[in-house]
Amino acid sequence: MKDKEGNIKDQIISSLAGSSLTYLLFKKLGHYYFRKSKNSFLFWLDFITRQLEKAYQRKKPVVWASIFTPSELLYALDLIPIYPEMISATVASLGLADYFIGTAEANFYSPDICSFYRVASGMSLRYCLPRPDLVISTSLLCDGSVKFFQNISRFYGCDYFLLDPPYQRKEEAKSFLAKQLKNLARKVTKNTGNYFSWDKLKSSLELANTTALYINKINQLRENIPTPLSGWNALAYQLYMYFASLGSNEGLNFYQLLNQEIEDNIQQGEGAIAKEDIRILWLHQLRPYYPNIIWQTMENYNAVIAFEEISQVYWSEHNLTKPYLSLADKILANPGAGPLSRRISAIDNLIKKYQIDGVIHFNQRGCRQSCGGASLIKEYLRIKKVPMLILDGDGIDRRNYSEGQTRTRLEAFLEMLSQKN
Amino acid sequence: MVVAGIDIGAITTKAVIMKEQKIKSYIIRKSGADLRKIAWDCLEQALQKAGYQLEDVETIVATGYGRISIPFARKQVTEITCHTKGAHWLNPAVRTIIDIGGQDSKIISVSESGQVIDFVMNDKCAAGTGRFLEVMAQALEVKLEDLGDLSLRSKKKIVISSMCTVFAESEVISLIADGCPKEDIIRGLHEAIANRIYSMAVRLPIQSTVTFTGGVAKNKGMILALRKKIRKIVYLPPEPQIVGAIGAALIAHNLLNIEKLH
Repeated sequence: MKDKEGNIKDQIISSLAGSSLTYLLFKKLGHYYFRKSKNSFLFWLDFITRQLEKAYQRKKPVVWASIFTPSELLYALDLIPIYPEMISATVASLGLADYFIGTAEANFYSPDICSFYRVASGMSLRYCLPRPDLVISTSLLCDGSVKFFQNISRFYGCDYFLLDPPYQRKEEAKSFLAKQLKNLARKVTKNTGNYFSWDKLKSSLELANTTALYINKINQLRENIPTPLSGWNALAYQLYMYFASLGSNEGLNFYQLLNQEIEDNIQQGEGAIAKEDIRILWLHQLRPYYPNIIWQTMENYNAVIAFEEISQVYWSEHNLTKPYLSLADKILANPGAGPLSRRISAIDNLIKKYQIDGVIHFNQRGCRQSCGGASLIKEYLRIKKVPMLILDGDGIDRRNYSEGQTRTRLEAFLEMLSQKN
Repeated sequence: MVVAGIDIGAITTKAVIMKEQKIKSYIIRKSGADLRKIAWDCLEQALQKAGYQLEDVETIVATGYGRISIPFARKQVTEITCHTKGAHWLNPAVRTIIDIGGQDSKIISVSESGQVIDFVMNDKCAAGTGRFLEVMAQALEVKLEDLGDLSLRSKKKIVISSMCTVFAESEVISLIADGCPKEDIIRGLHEAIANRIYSMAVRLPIQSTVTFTGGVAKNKGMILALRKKIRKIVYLPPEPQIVGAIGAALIAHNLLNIEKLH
């Protein structure tokens, strides 16, 4: 990191990142390159560009947050949220992950750390992300998240706030977490000098409620056969908006647009793939973001990801009179939190709802929360006679991806499902 | 109708010629770098051995890791499905297949009707594969095909703790330097692989009858170590290395039958 060449490169990247022209160019090029893409995709492209631009230009205080930190609260506190895990996925899809992984590993970040955090660490070491004014993370699901965000706050010398939800979804747990959220809001307003407004908090939750209605509507539309939105796409830009946009006007506009596109697809009888014989449920909140053969292989077998477990609206409508309790309940309601039986029960419902033929659990290397439960889920599904494939891989670090091995596992699984059908 | 099944593995390529579901000939050769050429050569030699011409072959199905490199095959099917078809055809009582190939190992659960119920594969590591034994044979300066017989002469149990091919090789070299008999070291290697395979196999219920396929199944010492570990009824195919190619040929036969029906 101290090499001269690195410093010059970092300075160039840093000054480019701070210029409005860069974003204008990025937006124009993006719209040209992806001109055949859906409007919802272009909307996401504008959203991420705008977020980064605003953050670099320090229009408001910048917060780095983990994906399970409710964005509703961050928008209410008038912050610009940056979700490093989601940016890592975007960087991987642009083919730039290796560079940042190399940087992180050269600085003693172990290859066993989740690659999403290695890329984000490499990016911060190269000063390729807007500097945070504060850092917030939850200890929910990701065990690497707390360490990563704490380290980031140390690196940038800013405050770190941890939301530490209890294991069970009980009333005492809800009150305990609500107090943490209230405390967080108080400290953030004090540290940033932002004015705290109840009306703003309520309006953010109201926006999130309306957006959730649209997500629910979309999820209902996705029960259609042929599937109108492939899970492969949903695990990309839709996922970004799912984590980063709730509580904002952009979030609502995005899901309204996506809903319209899906309705149009259904009306025109247009499925995500040409012929649909096998419906897959994808487990885990990510997929590989670098070029890989998974989607194409599935399409060759007329298989489609009908749904992905992460896109559920698992929380209740926010109660505007009790905002902190509502947000606490949202965090605690995550099916991945608490005992594994909750996740299994949610998976069971999705299998029935989306008429699933087979389940693929993507085992992200370094992700203990997800991989740890995979064998127990498989055991449960075996009794239910639902075939499940545990597909080892990495969403970002392509060194942990082997085309031949992935192909054989996936094709064998799809052959097995084809026989069954 | 004459059909062919070609299994292009990481170490060896196998071709089987079948007529009316009866094996007419087979060929096993080293794979090398040019997979397309070796598959073609194997097919030609197997045909010659069976006394057929290329024009006699109605359908070819390719399997194995090199299956996608074979443009003259009508269909590519994974080795998991092909081993299942082949093993079920050889012995319909087979419910579990343990296939130890050149670069990976697989455990397959088979239904009564000869379909894949579930499978597990080793991770991206050479431990517990044919390649592992090949490297160890080189370190021990013995022929790969002699490993089995040598291990049966072992008198003392030695535990090999490393399963990483690189580290196990240095462990083997250290044991040789300490004067340990090669027979005992080889037995230790076989038992280490058997333990690894067993821990993978128990993820699926191991049910009798169990069969061993792949090149490693020709190693008597390895089979003994696995038998001791799994304690189930075992069926050993007459030529374990060609089970995948047999399965591919049977799928080719079925493809033709379906076509004729329509």
